[in-house]
Amino acid sequence: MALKTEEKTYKLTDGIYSLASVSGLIRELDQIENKLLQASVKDKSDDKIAPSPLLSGFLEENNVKLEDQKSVGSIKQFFKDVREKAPLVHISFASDPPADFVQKIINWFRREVNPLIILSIGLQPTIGAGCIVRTTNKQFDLSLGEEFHKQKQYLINKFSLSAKETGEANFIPVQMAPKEAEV
Amino acid sequence: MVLQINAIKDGQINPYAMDSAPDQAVEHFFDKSFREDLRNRGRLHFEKIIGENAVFLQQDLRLTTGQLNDYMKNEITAKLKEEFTKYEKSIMDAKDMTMVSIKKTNDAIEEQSQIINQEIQKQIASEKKQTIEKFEQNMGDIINHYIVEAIGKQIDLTSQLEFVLAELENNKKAIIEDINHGA
Repeated sequence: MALKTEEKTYKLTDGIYSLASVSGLIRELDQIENKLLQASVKDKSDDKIAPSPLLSGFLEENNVKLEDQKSVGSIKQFFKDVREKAPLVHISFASDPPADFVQKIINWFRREVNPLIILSIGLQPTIGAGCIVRTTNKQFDLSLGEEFHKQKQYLINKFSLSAKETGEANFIPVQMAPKEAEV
Repeated sequence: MVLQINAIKDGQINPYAMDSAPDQAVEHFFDKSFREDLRNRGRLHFEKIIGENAVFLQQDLRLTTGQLNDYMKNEITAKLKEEFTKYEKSIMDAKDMTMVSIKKTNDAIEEQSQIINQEIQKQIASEKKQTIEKFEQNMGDIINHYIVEAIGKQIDLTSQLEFVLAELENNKKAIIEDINHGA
């Protein structure tokens, strides 16, 4: 799945992984577009455009430049399409994940699943470790708790008493059981 | 007078001698005292005979009574013996029947007792098994929860990256399927 804007295909960088960052870029591109418009009206090209590091990374990755309104508009439209149409994946962790961690996760998603995936990061302290991924219709519990739950039978087998130890074979009525003093 | 004497000799009347005696002579000879004497003699004789016969009759009656007593005694004894034998046989039969009945009842009670005992054993074993299974399930949940709580906060998210990526890789197919074909 790829979004095309006027025959141009862009690639999302790992830094752009959330709807918030996409919306921020759209706002930034709006400002840039306004600046370019003002410059064209004033016929001045003094105002130097200084994109944010996120936008710079995107421009560099896609080898494009913000030369005129057309190129800015194209990129902005691309981000609007991303915001509206790109597949969204919710992923929850036990604690707030660092940026490099998220970038590795989004990198995997875009490499293995879809290059335009957007992540929605959530917090769920009860999962302990791992994460819970929620896609359009499904939820994938990839947490340590779920892993323990799957292995619960193994745990039960380890600490459960054998049939001989529990006396499953024969029942000894209470009054026939040896008294504490006799043991 | 001679005729009278000849006619009555040794106290007995000689009919030949009296054939020719008139009625008056007879009347004169058998006067009142003589008749009274004869009557007394006859009475004594008759009493003597009656006494003798009474003795005989008494003896006979006594003998008969003795024989009758013996007969009755023997008959009654035989009858009683027979009845007692029958009675004893009836009692023995009743006793045997009672013993058989008691034995059957005891066998039935023993059998029922064994069945109930087995059923109780089975029920207790089943209850015990269920209780142990519930305990093991709950204990598994408790241990899992405790472990997740205990170590979840100690595991850095960065160190979880490998685990998370491996889990994502395991569920990649389902994630792609849902993202590409989900509504």
